[in-house]
Amino acid sequence: MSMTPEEIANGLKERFGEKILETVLDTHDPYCLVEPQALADVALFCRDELGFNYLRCLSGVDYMDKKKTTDDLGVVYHLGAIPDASHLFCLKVRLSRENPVVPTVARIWPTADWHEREAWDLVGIVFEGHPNLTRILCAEDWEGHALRKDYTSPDTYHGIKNNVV
Amino acid sequence: MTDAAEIERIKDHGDVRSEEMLLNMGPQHPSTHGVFRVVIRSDGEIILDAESHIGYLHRCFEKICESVNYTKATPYTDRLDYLMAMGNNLGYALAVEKLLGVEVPERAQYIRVIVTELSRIASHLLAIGTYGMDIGAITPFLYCFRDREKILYILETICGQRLNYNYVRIGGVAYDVDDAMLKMTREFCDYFLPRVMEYNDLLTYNGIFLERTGNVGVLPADLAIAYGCTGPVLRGSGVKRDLRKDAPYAVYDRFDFEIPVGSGEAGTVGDCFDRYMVRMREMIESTKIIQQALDQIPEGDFKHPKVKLKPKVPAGDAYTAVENARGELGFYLIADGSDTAFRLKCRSPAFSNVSVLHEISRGAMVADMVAIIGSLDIVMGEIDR
Repeated sequence: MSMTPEEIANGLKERFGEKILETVLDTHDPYCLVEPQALADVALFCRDELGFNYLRCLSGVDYMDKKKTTDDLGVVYHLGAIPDASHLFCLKVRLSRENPVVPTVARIWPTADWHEREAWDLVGIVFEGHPNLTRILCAEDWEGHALRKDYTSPDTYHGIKNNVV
Repeated sequence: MTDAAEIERIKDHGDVRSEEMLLNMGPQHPSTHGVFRVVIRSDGEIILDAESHIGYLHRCFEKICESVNYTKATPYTDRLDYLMAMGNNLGYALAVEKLLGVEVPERAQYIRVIVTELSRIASHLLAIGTYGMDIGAITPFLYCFRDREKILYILETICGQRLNYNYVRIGGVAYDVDDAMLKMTREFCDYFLPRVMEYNDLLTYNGIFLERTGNVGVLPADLAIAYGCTGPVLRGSGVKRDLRKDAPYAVYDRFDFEIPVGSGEAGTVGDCFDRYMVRMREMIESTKIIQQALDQIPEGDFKHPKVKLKPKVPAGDAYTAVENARGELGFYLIADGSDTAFRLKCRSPAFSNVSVLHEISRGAMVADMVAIIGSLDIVMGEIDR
Protein backbone atom coordinates (compact mmCIF):
# COMPACT_ATOMS: atom_id res chain seq x y z
CA MET A 1 0.00 0.00 0.00
CA SER A 2 2.92 2.26 -0.37
CA MET A 3 2.05 5.76 -1.53
CA THR A 4 3.88 7.84 -4.09
CA PRO A 5 5.73 10.93 -2.81
CA GLU A 6 3.15 13.07 -4.63
CA GLU A 7 0.27 11.49 -2.73
CA ILE A 8 2.10 11.95 0.56
CA ALA A 9 2.87 15.61 -0.19
CA ASN A 10 -0.75 16.24 -1.23
CA GLY A 11 -1.99 14.58 1.94
CA LEU A 12 0.24 16.84 4.03
CA LYS A 13 -0.78 19.98 2.13
CA GLU A 14 -4.45 19.11 2.48
CA ARG A 15 -4.14 18.64 6.21
CA PHE A 16 -1.69 21.41 7.10
CA GLY A 17 -2.10 23.98 4.30
CA GLU A 18 0.10 27.00 4.92
CA LYS A 19 2.33 25.13 7.36
CA ILE A 20 3.88 23.27 4.44
CA LEU A 21 6.21 25.92 3.07
CA GLU A 22 7.66 24.14 0.09
CA THR A 23 7.42 20.78 -1.67
CA VAL A 24 10.20 19.33 -3.79
CA LEU A 25 9.51 15.98 -5.44
CA ASP A 26 12.02 15.99 -8.30
CA THR A 27 15.07 14.98 -6.25
CA HIS A 28 16.72 11.93 -4.66
CA ASP A 29 14.71 12.19 -1.44
CA PRO A 30 11.40 13.98 -2.10
CA TYR A 31 10.62 16.31 0.78
CA CYS A 32 8.34 18.92 2.29
CA LEU A 33 9.74 21.98 4.02
CA VAL A 34 7.66 22.42 7.16
CA GLU A 35 7.18 25.43 9.38
CA PRO A 36 9.24 24.61 12.51
CA GLN A 37 6.47 25.11 15.07
CA ALA A 38 4.17 22.70 13.20
CA LEU A 39 6.80 19.96 12.91
CA ALA A 40 5.61 17.80 15.79
CA ASP A 41 2.02 17.79 14.50
CA VAL A 42 3.16 16.95 10.99
CA ALA A 43 5.37 14.16 12.34
CA LEU A 44 2.52 12.68 14.37
CA PHE A 45 0.26 12.81 11.31
CA CYS A 46 2.97 11.07 9.27
CA ARG A 47 3.27 8.30 11.82
CA ASP A 48 -0.39 7.71 12.56
CA GLU A 49 -2.13 8.51 9.28
CA LEU A 50 0.54 7.97 6.64
CA GLY A 51 2.11 4.84 8.12
CA PHE A 52 5.65 6.06 8.75
CA ASN A 53 6.35 3.96 11.82
CA TYR A 54 10.12 4.22 11.55
CA LEU A 55 12.41 7.27 11.71
CA ARG A 56 15.41 6.25 9.65
CA CYS A 57 17.62 9.23 10.25
CA LEU A 58 17.57 12.65 11.85
CA SER A 59 20.31 15.05 10.77
CA GLY A 60 21.11 18.47 12.07
CA VAL A 61 22.62 20.67 9.37
CA ASP A 62 24.36 24.03 9.32
CA TYR A 63 23.57 25.51 5.89
CA MET A 64 26.04 28.41 6.14
CA ASP A 65 28.15 28.25 2.96
CA LYS A 66 31.50 29.86 2.25
CA LYS A 67 29.95 32.94 0.60
CA LYS A 68 27.59 33.32 3.57
CA THR A 69 24.52 33.59 1.35
CA THR A 70 22.60 31.97 4.20
CA ASP A 71 23.33 31.25 7.80
CA ASP A 72 20.34 29.02 8.50
CA LEU A 73 20.44 25.84 10.51
CA GLY A 74 18.13 22.97 9.71
CA VAL A 75 16.95 19.51 10.60
CA VAL A 76 16.27 16.75 8.10
CA TYR A 77 13.99 13.85 9.01
CA HIS A 78 14.13 10.73 6.87
CA LEU A 79 10.96 8.75 7.40
CA GLY A 80 10.50 5.12 6.53
CA ALA A 81 8.31 2.17 7.26
CA ILE A 82 8.91 -1.36 8.44
CA PRO A 83 8.46 -3.76 6.76
CA ASP A 84 7.49 -1.76 3.64
CA ALA A 85 10.92 -0.46 2.57
CA SER A 86 9.64 1.49 -0.45
CA HIS A 87 7.43 3.78 1.67
CA LEU A 88 9.75 6.76 2.10
CA PHE A 89 9.51 10.48 2.59
CA CYS A 90 11.53 13.31 4.00
CA LEU A 91 10.70 16.35 6.12
CA LYS A 92 12.93 19.40 6.48
CA VAL A 93 12.84 22.46 8.69
CA ARG A 94 14.94 25.63 8.41
CA LEU A 95 15.78 27.46 11.62
CA SER A 96 17.34 30.82 12.30
CA ARG A 97 20.83 30.84 13.72
CA GLU A 98 19.83 33.14 16.58
CA ASN A 99 16.94 31.00 17.78
CA PRO A 100 17.23 27.44 16.47
CA VAL A 101 14.23 25.86 18.20
CA VAL A 102 12.06 23.05 16.89
CA PRO A 103 9.58 20.84 18.77
CA THR A 104 10.88 17.41 19.72
CA VAL A 105 9.68 14.21 18.07
CA ALA A 106 11.19 11.98 20.76
CA ARG A 107 7.74 10.99 21.99
CA ILE A 108 6.58 10.14 18.48
CA TRP A 109 9.60 8.02 17.57
CA PRO A 110 11.67 7.13 20.68
CA THR A 111 14.73 6.67 18.45
CA ALA A 112 14.72 10.46 17.99
CA ASP A 113 15.69 10.85 21.65
CA TRP A 114 19.35 10.09 21.04
CA HIS A 115 19.42 11.53 17.53
CA GLU A 116 18.12 14.86 18.84
CA ARG A 117 20.65 14.87 21.65
CA GLU A 118 23.32 14.35 19.01
CA ALA A 119 21.95 17.21 16.87
CA TRP A 120 21.99 19.44 19.96
CA ASP A 121 25.50 18.35 20.87
CA LEU A 122 27.09 18.77 17.45
CA VAL A 123 24.97 21.39 15.67
CA GLY A 124 23.37 23.23 18.59
CA ILE A 125 19.72 22.81 17.69
CA VAL A 126 17.29 23.11 20.60
CA PHE A 127 14.53 20.54 20.66
CA GLU A 128 11.68 21.98 22.66
CA GLY A 129 10.10 19.51 25.07
CA HIS A 130 12.87 16.92 24.81
CA PRO A 131 12.95 14.76 27.97
CA ASN A 132 16.70 15.05 28.49
CA LEU A 133 18.45 17.42 26.11
CA THR A 134 22.06 16.95 27.22
CA ARG A 135 25.27 16.35 25.33
CA ILE A 136 25.66 12.76 24.21
CA LEU A 137 28.94 12.39 22.29
CA CYS A 138 31.04 15.28 23.60
CA ALA A 139 31.88 15.77 27.27
CA GLU A 140 29.26 17.54 29.36
CA ASP A 141 31.43 20.62 29.86
CA TRP A 142 32.43 20.96 26.21
CA GLU A 143 31.86 24.41 24.73
CA GLY A 144 30.41 25.12 21.32
CA HIS A 145 28.93 22.86 18.69
CA ALA A 146 31.49 21.18 16.48
CA LEU A 147 29.49 20.85 13.28
CA ARG A 148 28.71 24.55 13.07
CA LYS A 149 30.58 25.97 10.09
CA ASP A 150 31.95 28.84 12.20
CA TYR A 151 33.17 26.56 15.00
CA THR A 152 36.70 26.93 16.28
CA SER A 153 38.05 24.29 18.61
CA PRO A 154 39.16 25.50 22.04
CA ASP A 155 42.87 26.13 22.68
CA THR A 156 42.89 24.23 25.93
CA TYR A 157 40.63 21.68 27.52
CA HIS A 158 41.30 20.85 31.19
CA GLY A 159 44.91 21.83 30.75
CA ILE A 160 45.39 19.82 27.55
CA LYS A 161 46.78 22.04 24.81
CA ASN A 162 45.02 22.04 21.46
CA ASN A 163 45.58 23.78 18.11
CA VAL A 164 49.35 23.42 18.56
CA VAL A 165 51.27 23.19 15.29
CA MET B 1 8.82 -13.77 36.03
CA THR B 2 10.88 -10.61 36.00
CA ASP B 3 8.23 -8.07 35.11
CA ALA B 4 7.26 -4.92 36.99
CA ALA B 5 4.66 -6.72 39.10
CA GLU B 6 7.26 -9.20 40.24
CA ILE B 7 9.54 -6.36 41.35
CA GLU B 8 6.70 -4.83 43.33
CA ARG B 9 5.98 -8.20 44.94
CA ILE B 10 9.59 -8.63 45.95
CA LYS B 11 9.83 -5.07 47.25
CA ASP B 12 6.67 -5.34 49.32
CA HIS B 13 7.56 -8.70 50.72
CA GLY B 14 7.58 -8.63 54.51
CA ASP B 15 8.73 -5.63 56.47
CA VAL B 16 12.30 -5.56 55.23
CA ARG B 17 12.95 -2.28 53.46
CA SER B 18 14.90 -2.70 50.28
CA GLU B 19 17.39 -0.09 49.18
CA GLU B 20 18.37 0.96 45.73
CA MET B 21 21.96 0.88 44.65
CA LEU B 22 23.76 2.61 41.81
CA LEU B 23 26.13 0.32 40.00
CA ASN B 24 28.63 1.52 37.44
CA MET B 25 29.37 -0.90 34.64
CA GLY B 26 32.20 0.31 32.44
CA PRO B 27 33.60 2.32 30.74
CA GLN B 28 36.37 -0.28 31.13
CA HIS B 29 34.60 -3.58 31.41
CA PRO B 30 35.35 -6.78 29.47
CA SER B 31 31.75 -7.36 28.41
CA THR B 32 30.87 -3.88 27.26
CA HIS B 33 32.85 -4.55 24.05
CA GLY B 34 34.60 -1.23 24.03
CA VAL B 35 34.41 1.87 26.18
CA PHE B 36 30.75 1.91 27.04
CA ARG B 37 29.32 2.81 30.41
CA VAL B 38 25.98 1.81 31.89
CA VAL B 39 24.78 3.20 35.19
CA ILE B 40 22.49 0.58 36.67
CA ARG B 41 19.99 1.43 39.37
CA SER B 42 19.41 -1.86 41.08
CA ASP B 43 17.34 -3.27 43.88
CA GLY B 44 19.37 -6.19 45.08
CA GLU B 45 19.94 -8.31 42.00
CA ILE B 46 17.19 -6.73 39.95
CA ILE B 47 17.76 -3.89 37.51
CA LEU B 48 15.28 -1.06 38.02
CA ASP B 49 16.72 1.20 35.39
CA ALA B 50 19.82 1.53 33.29
CA GLU B 51 21.28 4.64 31.75
CA SER B 52 23.75 4.37 28.88
CA HIS B 53 26.64 6.76 28.53
CA ILE B 54 28.42 6.88 25.19
CA GLY B 55 30.92 9.15 23.51
CA TYR B 56 34.22 7.89 24.92
CA LEU B 57 35.55 7.24 21.40
CA HIS B 58 34.09 10.36 19.84
CA ARG B 59 36.37 11.90 17.22
CA CYS B 60 33.78 13.82 15.17
CA PHE B 61 34.02 11.72 12.05
CA GLU B 62 31.43 13.95 10.40
CA LYS B 63 33.56 17.07 10.88
CA ILE B 64 36.62 15.30 9.49
CA CYS B 65 34.63 14.42 6.36
CA GLU B 66 33.87 18.10 5.84
CA SER B 67 37.57 18.93 5.78
CA VAL B 68 39.06 16.18 3.59
CA ASN B 69 38.02 15.31 0.04
CA TYR B 70 35.71 12.42 -0.79
CA THR B 71 38.46 9.90 -1.49
CA LYS B 72 40.40 10.75 1.64
CA ALA B 73 37.29 10.24 3.76
CA THR B 74 37.02 6.55 2.81
CA PRO B 75 39.66 5.33 5.32
CA TYR B 76 37.76 7.14 8.08
CA THR B 77 34.67 5.10 7.30
CA ASP B 78 36.75 1.95 7.96
CA ARG B 79 37.02 3.02 11.54
CA LEU B 80 33.29 3.33 12.15
CA ASP B 81 32.28 -0.30 12.41
CA TYR B 82 35.78 -1.69 12.41
CA LEU B 83 34.50 -5.27 12.42
CA MET B 84 32.81 -4.84 9.06
CA ALA B 85 34.85 -2.15 7.38
CA MET B 86 34.00 -3.41 3.89
CA GLY B 87 30.33 -2.67 4.52
CA ASN B 88 31.11 0.86 5.67
CA ASN B 89 33.27 1.48 2.59
CA LEU B 90 30.45 0.20 0.43
CA GLY B 91 27.79 2.35 2.08
CA TYR B 92 29.93 5.46 1.75
CA ALA B 93 30.90 4.71 -1.86
CA LEU B 94 27.25 4.14 -2.81
CA ALA B 95 26.27 7.44 -1.17
CA VAL B 96 28.82 9.39 -3.21
CA GLU B 97 28.08 7.44 -6.39
CA LYS B 98 24.37 8.21 -6.04
CA LEU B 99 25.05 11.94 -6.25
CA LEU B 100 27.77 11.46 -8.88
CA GLY B 101 25.28 9.47 -10.94
CA VAL B 102 27.69 6.70 -11.91
CA GLU B 103 26.88 3.05 -12.42
CA VAL B 104 29.69 0.83 -11.20
CA PRO B 105 30.90 -1.96 -13.59
CA GLU B 106 29.40 -5.39 -12.98
CA ARG B 107 32.60 -7.10 -11.96
CA ALA B 108 33.16 -4.47 -9.29
CA GLN B 109 29.60 -5.00 -8.04
CA TYR B 110 30.25 -8.71 -7.64
CA ILE B 111 33.58 -8.17 -5.93
CA ARG B 112 31.84 -5.76 -3.54
CA VAL B 113 29.22 -8.36 -2.70
CA ILE B 114 31.83 -11.07 -2.09
CA VAL B 115 34.03 -8.99 0.19
CA THR B 116 31.07 -7.53 2.06
CA GLU B 117 29.56 -10.93 2.75
CA LEU B 118 32.95 -12.31 3.82
CA SER B 119 33.17 -9.36 6.19
CA ARG B 120 29.67 -10.05 7.48
CA ILE B 121 30.62 -13.63 8.33
CA ALA B 122 33.80 -12.43 10.05
CA SER B 123 31.80 -9.90 12.05
CA HIS B 124 29.15 -12.42 13.09
CA LEU B 125 31.86 -14.92 14.04
CA LEU B 126 33.35 -12.39 16.39
CA ALA B 127 29.92 -11.50 17.76
CA ILE B 128 29.08 -15.15 18.41
CA GLY B 129 32.49 -16.03 19.80
CA THR B 130 32.64 -13.15 22.24
CA TYR B 131 29.00 -13.68 23.16
CA GLY B 132 29.80 -17.22 24.24
CA MET B 133 32.68 -15.85 26.27
CA ASP B 134 30.40 -13.26 27.93
CA ILE B 135 28.15 -16.08 29.03
CA GLY B 136 31.08 -18.15 30.25
CA ALA B 137 32.00 -20.47 27.39
CA ILE B 138 35.57 -19.88 26.26
CA THR B 139 36.04 -22.70 23.77
CA PRO B 140 33.62 -21.50 21.04
CA PHE B 141 35.54 -18.22 20.95
CA LEU B 142 38.68 -20.07 19.85
CA TYR B 143 36.81 -21.96 17.14
CA CYS B 144 35.20 -18.77 15.84
CA PHE B 145 38.52 -16.95 15.75
CA ARG B 146 40.14 -19.86 13.94
CA ASP B 147 37.65 -19.44 11.08
CA ARG B 148 37.57 -15.67 11.20
CA GLU B 149 41.31 -15.79 10.68
CA LYS B 150 40.78 -17.57 7.37
CA ILE B 151 38.50 -14.76 6.18
CA LEU B 152 40.94 -12.10 7.29
CA TYR B 153 43.65 -13.94 5.37
CA ILE B 154 41.55 -13.88 2.18
CA LEU B 155 40.82 -10.18 2.60
CA GLU B 156 44.47 -9.54 3.33
CA THR B 157 45.46 -11.18 0.05
CA ILE B 158 43.04 -8.89 -1.78
CA CYS B 159 44.01 -5.57 -0.27
CA GLY B 160 46.87 -6.05 2.16
CA GLN B 161 44.88 -5.18 5.27
CA ARG B 162 43.22 -7.24 7.94
CA LEU B 163 40.77 -4.80 9.49
CA ASN B 164 40.73 -1.34 7.94
CA TYR B 165 40.63 -2.24 4.28
CA ASN B 166 39.96 1.02 2.39
CA TYR B 167 39.17 -1.36 -0.48
CA VAL B 168 35.72 -0.45 -1.79
CA ARG B 169 36.34 2.93 -3.38
CA ILE B 170 34.17 5.50 -5.09
CA GLY B 171 33.53 4.13 -8.56
CA GLY B 172 34.56 0.54 -7.92
CA VAL B 173 37.18 -1.26 -5.86
CA ALA B 174 40.85 -0.52 -5.32
CA TYR B 175 42.35 -3.63 -6.94
CA ASP B 176 41.07 -6.44 -9.10
CA VAL B 177 40.83 -9.95 -7.67
CA ASP B 178 42.61 -12.87 -9.29
CA ASP B 179 41.56 -16.48 -9.84
CA ALA B 180 43.67 -17.69 -6.93
CA MET B 181 41.69 -15.50 -4.54
CA LEU B 182 38.37 -16.65 -6.00
CA LYS B 183 39.49 -20.26 -5.60
CA MET B 184 40.52 -19.59 -2.03
CA THR B 185 37.12 -18.05 -1.31
CA ARG B 186 35.31 -21.02 -2.82
CA GLU B 187 37.36 -23.41 -0.72
CA PHE B 188 36.55 -21.38 2.32
CA CYS B 189 32.79 -21.61 1.62
CA ASP B 190 32.98 -25.41 1.31
CA TYR B 191 35.01 -25.56 4.48
CA PHE B 192 32.81 -23.17 6.41
CA LEU B 193 29.29 -24.56 6.00
CA PRO B 194 29.91 -27.71 8.11
CA ARG B 195 31.62 -25.54 10.73
CA VAL B 196 28.32 -23.84 11.56
CA MET B 197 27.04 -27.22 12.77
CA GLU B 198 30.12 -27.42 14.94
CA TYR B 199 29.32 -24.09 16.61
CA ASN B 200 25.78 -25.27 17.17
CA ASP B 201 27.05 -28.43 18.87
CA LEU B 202 29.51 -26.46 20.93
CA LEU B 203 27.43 -23.53 22.03
CA THR B 204 23.94 -23.05 20.66
CA TYR B 205 22.20 -26.06 22.16
CA ASN B 206 24.23 -26.12 25.34
CA GLY B 207 21.85 -26.23 28.29
CA ILE B 208 23.55 -23.45 30.25
CA PHE B 209 23.64 -21.22 27.20
CA LEU B 210 19.95 -21.77 26.54
CA GLU B 211 19.15 -20.94 30.16
CA ARG B 212 21.23 -17.77 30.09
CA THR B 213 19.82 -16.42 26.82
CA GLY B 214 16.26 -17.73 26.50
CA ASN B 215 13.55 -15.37 27.83
CA VAL B 216 16.24 -12.80 28.68
CA GLY B 217 16.14 -9.23 27.35
CA VAL B 218 12.94 -9.67 25.38
CA LEU B 219 12.51 -6.95 22.75
CA PRO B 220 8.99 -6.81 21.28
CA ALA B 221 8.76 -5.98 17.58
CA ASP B 222 6.89 -2.67 17.96
CA LEU B 223 9.39 -1.42 20.53
CA ALA B 224 12.27 -2.40 18.24
CA ILE B 225 10.78 -0.41 15.35
CA ALA B 226 10.01 2.61 17.55
CA TYR B 227 13.63 2.71 18.73
CA GLY B 228 14.92 2.36 15.20
CA CYS B 229 16.57 -1.02 15.81
CA THR B 230 17.67 -2.75 12.65
CA GLY B 231 19.68 -5.75 11.57
CA PRO B 232 19.78 -8.95 13.66
CA VAL B 233 18.33 -7.06 16.64
CA LEU B 234 15.14 -6.26 14.71
CA ARG B 235 15.01 -9.59 12.90
CA GLY B 236 15.44 -11.38 16.21
CA SER B 237 12.10 -9.84 17.18
CA GLY B 238 10.50 -11.61 14.24
CA VAL B 239 10.40 -8.73 11.75
CA LYS B 240 11.46 -9.67 8.24
CA ARG B 241 13.41 -6.61 7.19
CA ASP B 242 16.66 -6.73 5.28
CA LEU B 243 17.68 -3.98 2.88
CA ARG B 244 19.56 -6.50 0.75
CA LYS B 245 16.17 -7.99 -0.09
CA ASP B 246 13.75 -5.08 0.42
CA ALA B 247 15.69 -2.32 -1.30
CA PRO B 248 18.46 -4.17 -3.14
CA TYR B 249 21.70 -2.33 -3.88
CA ALA B 250 24.83 -3.59 -5.66
CA VAL B 251 23.62 -6.84 -7.29
CA TYR B 252 21.85 -8.41 -4.31
CA ASP B 253 18.64 -8.86 -6.31
CA ARG B 254 20.37 -11.58 -8.35
CA PHE B 255 20.95 -13.97 -5.48
CA ASP B 256 18.73 -16.47 -3.83
CA PHE B 257 18.88 -16.26 -0.04
CA GLU B 258 16.64 -16.33 2.98
CA ILE B 259 16.18 -13.76 5.74
CA PRO B 260 16.30 -15.59 9.08
CA VAL B 261 14.05 -14.19 11.77
CA GLY B 262 13.62 -15.01 15.44
CA SER B 263 10.86 -17.42 16.33
CA GLY B 264 11.21 -17.84 20.07
CA GLU B 265 12.92 -21.25 19.96
CA ALA B 266 14.35 -20.90 23.45
CA GLY B 267 11.46 -19.01 25.00
CA THR B 268 10.01 -15.73 23.80
CA VAL B 269 10.30 -14.08 20.41
CA GLY B 270 12.87 -11.30 20.58
CA ASP B 271 14.99 -12.67 23.42
CA CYS B 272 18.78 -12.81 23.46
CA PHE B 273 18.79 -16.31 22.00
CA ASP B 274 16.77 -15.20 18.96
CA ARG B 275 19.19 -12.37 18.21
CA TYR B 276 22.09 -14.77 18.56
CA MET B 277 20.45 -17.39 16.36
CA VAL B 278 19.65 -14.90 13.60
CA ARG B 279 23.38 -14.16 13.34
CA MET B 280 24.21 -17.85 13.25
CA ARG B 281 21.76 -18.48 10.39
CA GLU B 282 22.81 -15.35 8.52
CA MET B 283 26.31 -16.75 8.21
CA ILE B 284 24.90 -19.68 6.22
CA GLU B 285 22.92 -17.32 4.00
CA SER B 286 25.99 -15.14 3.44
CA THR B 287 27.95 -18.20 2.42
CA LYS B 288 25.22 -19.05 -0.08
CA ILE B 289 25.40 -15.53 -1.51
CA ILE B 290 29.18 -15.76 -1.88
CA GLN B 291 28.93 -19.11 -3.67
CA GLN B 292 26.39 -17.72 -6.13
CA ALA B 293 28.45 -14.59 -6.69
CA LEU B 294 31.53 -16.73 -7.40
CA ASP B 295 29.53 -18.65 -10.02
CA GLN B 296 28.24 -15.51 -11.70
CA ILE B 297 31.18 -13.09 -11.50
CA PRO B 298 31.87 -11.69 -14.99
CA GLU B 299 35.09 -10.43 -16.53
CA GLY B 300 35.50 -6.70 -17.00
CA ASP B 301 36.52 -3.49 -15.30
CA PHE B 302 36.93 -3.35 -11.55
CA LYS B 303 36.39 0.39 -11.41
CA HIS B 304 34.53 3.00 -13.35
CA PRO B 305 36.94 4.43 -15.95
CA LYS B 306 35.58 7.98 -15.70
CA VAL B 307 35.59 8.46 -11.93
CA LYS B 308 38.57 10.59 -11.00
CA LEU B 309 40.70 10.23 -7.92
CA LYS B 310 39.38 13.56 -6.63
CA PRO B 311 35.79 13.59 -7.86
CA LYS B 312 33.76 16.77 -7.79
CA VAL B 313 30.28 15.83 -6.71
CA PRO B 314 27.35 17.83 -8.14
CA ALA B 315 25.31 19.79 -5.62
CA GLY B 316 22.46 17.90 -4.06
CA ASP B 317 21.57 15.74 -1.12
CA ALA B 318 20.65 12.08 -0.74
CA TYR B 319 20.28 9.44 1.93
CA THR B 320 21.77 6.05 1.11
CA ALA B 321 21.44 2.98 3.27
CA VAL B 322 23.00 -0.47 3.21
CA GLU B 323 22.45 -3.54 5.35
CA ASN B 324 25.54 -3.88 7.49
CA ALA B 325 26.24 -6.67 9.97
CA ARG B 326 24.54 -4.61 12.68
CA GLY B 327 21.70 -3.18 10.64
CA GLU B 328 20.89 -0.19 8.50
CA LEU B 329 23.99 1.90 7.93
CA GLY B 330 22.91 5.16 6.35
CA PHE B 331 24.83 8.12 4.98
CA TYR B 332 23.04 11.41 4.45
CA LEU B 333 25.31 13.36 2.14
CA ILE B 334 24.92 17.01 1.17
CA ALA B 335 27.25 18.02 -1.64
CA ASP B 336 27.90 21.57 -2.81
CA GLY B 337 29.69 20.90 -6.09
CA SER B 338 33.21 20.89 -4.67
CA ASP B 339 35.49 17.91 -4.00
CA THR B 340 34.63 17.90 -0.29
CA ALA B 341 31.38 16.96 1.40
CA PHE B 342 29.31 19.88 2.69
CA ARG B 343 27.73 17.66 5.35
CA LEU B 344 27.89 13.93 5.90
CA LYS B 345 25.68 12.45 8.56
CA CYS B 346 26.26 8.83 9.43
CA ARG B 347 23.27 6.92 10.76
CA SER B 348 24.96 4.07 12.54
CA PRO B 349 22.93 0.96 13.29
CA ALA B 350 24.48 0.17 16.67
CA PHE B 351 23.74 3.71 17.89
CA SER B 352 20.01 3.08 17.59
CA ASN B 353 20.27 -0.55 18.66
CA VAL B 354 21.95 0.30 21.96
CA SER B 355 19.48 3.11 22.69
CA VAL B 356 16.88 0.45 23.50
CA LEU B 357 19.06 -1.05 26.24
CA HIS B 358 17.29 0.61 29.20
CA GLU B 359 13.93 -0.69 27.96
CA ILE B 360 14.90 -4.33 27.64
CA SER B 361 17.12 -4.57 30.70
CA ARG B 362 14.52 -3.18 33.10
CA GLY B 363 13.47 -5.94 35.47
CA ALA B 364 16.29 -8.28 34.48
CA MET B 365 18.94 -9.63 36.85
CA VAL B 366 22.25 -7.78 37.04
CA ALA B 367 24.09 -10.80 35.68
CA ASP B 368 21.81 -10.77 32.63
CA MET B 369 23.01 -7.30 31.70
CA VAL B 370 26.11 -8.88 30.23
CA ALA B 371 23.99 -11.27 28.16
CA ILE B 372 21.78 -8.43 26.94
CA ILE B 373 24.61 -6.09 25.93
CA GLY B 374 26.37 -8.95 24.15
CA SER B 375 23.24 -9.86 22.23
CA LEU B 376 22.94 -6.31 20.88
CA ASP B 377 26.44 -6.73 19.39
CA ILE B 378 27.60 -3.16 19.74
CA VAL B 379 30.72 -1.64 18.19
CA MET B 380 31.68 1.59 19.89
CA GLY B 381 33.61 2.84 16.87
CA GLU B 382 30.38 3.53 15.02
CA ILE B 383 28.26 4.52 18.03
CA ASP B 384 30.66 7.27 19.07
CA ARG B 385 31.87 8.15 15.59
